[in-house]
Amino acid sequence: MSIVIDNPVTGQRLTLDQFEFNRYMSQTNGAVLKWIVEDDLNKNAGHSDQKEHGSWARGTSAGGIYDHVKESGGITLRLKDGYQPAVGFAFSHIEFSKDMASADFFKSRAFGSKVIADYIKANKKALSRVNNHLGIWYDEDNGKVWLDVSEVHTSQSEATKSGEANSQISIFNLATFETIPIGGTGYKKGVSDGERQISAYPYGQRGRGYDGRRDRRMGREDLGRVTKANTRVIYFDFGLKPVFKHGEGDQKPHGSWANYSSPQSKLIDKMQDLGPTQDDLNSYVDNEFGHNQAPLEDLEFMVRNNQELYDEAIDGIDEEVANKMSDFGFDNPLTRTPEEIEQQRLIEFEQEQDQMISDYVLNAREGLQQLFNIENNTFPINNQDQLANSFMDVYNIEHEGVDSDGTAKTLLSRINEVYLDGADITVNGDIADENGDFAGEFARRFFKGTNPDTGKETWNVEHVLLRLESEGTGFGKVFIAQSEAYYTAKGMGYIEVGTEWDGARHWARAGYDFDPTKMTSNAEKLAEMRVRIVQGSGTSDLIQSGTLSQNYKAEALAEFDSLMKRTVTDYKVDSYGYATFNTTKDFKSDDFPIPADFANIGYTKGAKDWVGKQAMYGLNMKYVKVLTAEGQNLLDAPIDRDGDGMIYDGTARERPAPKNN
Amino acid sequence: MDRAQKLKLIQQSYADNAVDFDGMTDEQESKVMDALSTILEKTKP
Repeated sequence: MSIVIDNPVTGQRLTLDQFEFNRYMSQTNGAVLKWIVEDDLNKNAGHSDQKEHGSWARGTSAGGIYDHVKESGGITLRLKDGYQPAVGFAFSHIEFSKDMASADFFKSRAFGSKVIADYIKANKKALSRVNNHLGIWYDEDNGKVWLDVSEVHTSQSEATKSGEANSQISIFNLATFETIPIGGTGYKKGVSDGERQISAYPYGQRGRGYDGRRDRRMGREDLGRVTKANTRVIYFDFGLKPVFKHGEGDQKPHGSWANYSSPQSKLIDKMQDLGPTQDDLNSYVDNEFGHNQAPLEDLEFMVRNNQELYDEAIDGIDEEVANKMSDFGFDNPLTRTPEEIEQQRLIEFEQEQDQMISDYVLNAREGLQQLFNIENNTFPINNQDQLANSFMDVYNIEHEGVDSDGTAKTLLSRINEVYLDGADITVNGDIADENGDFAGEFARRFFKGTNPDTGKETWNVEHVLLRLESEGTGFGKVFIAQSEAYYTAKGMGYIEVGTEWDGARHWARAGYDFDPTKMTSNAEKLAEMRVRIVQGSGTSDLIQSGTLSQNYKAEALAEFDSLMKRTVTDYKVDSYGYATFNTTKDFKSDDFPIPADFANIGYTKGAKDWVGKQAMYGLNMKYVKVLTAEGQNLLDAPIDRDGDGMIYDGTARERPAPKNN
Repeated sequence: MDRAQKLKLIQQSYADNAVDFDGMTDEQESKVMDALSTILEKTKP
């Protein structure tokens, strides 16, 4: 960002960068402030260098802003490009101000970041105006953190003019920290809690907070990825995508998936407005691939209907038209009447105007695209920071519970990184305890695929990893329930899991189905169970202890073979006990087994070990859970969530929804 | 009962009976498996 001044001593007009301007400030004892060319900074902010600014809120992640506020006590930030004004004249639009106890704001990064993100979201229209900035400052005197919309002008006269129009008593000089009275009433109507006294919220009281927010532009390195420094890289070999890695010893069971109860239904409603939508995911991916652009004609239309943009686009047009008229002799009064000359001038003007607007749009496309997004209130998710911020509402969870040892635990999950992997989106994060110590990790991969039930392409999610150091605190249940509610609320298709350790049994028990697109591979894995049963893998101790009968193998094999005959064609068993088959049968047939059938082989009531448990251990299966919000609870009244007047309540067909839905 | 219904029953049963994501006792596990085996028995094709 440059600052243009007219030097009254030398008569020169100079363009200064921040460093040079600061030098002038020092050398002229602040007099340079009076030499600033009016509205130049504002002009830049508005449109003249849109192409330099890039995306809205680029580099201004809520987490990054939070870090800055925590470090320096405050910030004044133009969201469009991350610019922090070091000079100028400011006042606050009190009607947008919000305050909260600093103890709350600073209690955690996740919470503070969410407060900031919510504030930006709630006031995005005001914050998108040319001179407006996000203001946050910590008032040490009363222990409050204020968030507001600050209007900043480089010109004192412009600030005064706007301040008067906004009933301000005074404006504040950012460079000298002086409060300048302008004679407003100090009251403003239209504030949410009625008429509110502006004088109770003077800009100049920002003290240390304001001092800390000046003279620095927030760079992408500061505000880029969310806690990038804490990013953990998680590698898995092919075929080894664990569902869970537990602690030492036996693989204990795994929690409450598919909590299809009323609380889960409420959670789905809650998640309707939280987290990125499928369109947001598309927007992000499209933008990464450079496809997220409005048609040029839409941008040209915007320019033609925006006076400032239009004026800038056709800057110099009169001279261009005059030159052309002259070059081609169109303005020769000897050959044309005045009417003909004027008519020709209009034709040339139209042509030149079209060309200049077209060139302008091509040259400033990125900035215009952002303005287009703002004006159309679309605010598409189009960078990592925005997406990470949005995912925080889904995956940043704080939960208090008691672990299996009876110890109280507070666990907090935090997103570390969101990134594009091919056309997929990966979300990685850590789980920490109340001391900030590592307590687990998670990884989720979002990908596009066809919903097995509907045949429609949707975003889906692979639960790549969730690992907790502490067992039984209830954190996992809350984490998973919220995740699943989010997927369902956003209309995502299905959850996919790859299994390892005892995952094949666990997810079968939790109601997961085979991934139909990988059924041949799944069937091959299932066939391995037969060899394990024949060889008695993991069962010799059970026989000795009397847990299994001596003829358990024959019974288990009969049950297994029966299931496999319903799963595949040409099922055969060779002389060594190995199972072979030709292909898989119709997956949609009601006779086709579900994973739970295999997990249940040989189970008797109350058993701690059984054949299915042992034989499934370590199988790398691919399971899915199709997501549907309707028929969440088979015992409660169903809800017409997709608004088609029909509900799916667990019966084979949809039926008309109750009228009170 | 079709497969989709059966899976939903199992999902709901699991949600009702599983105490947590991790760290359940053998008794708590047995409760989950007992409920599952009952569903599978009653919904045999």
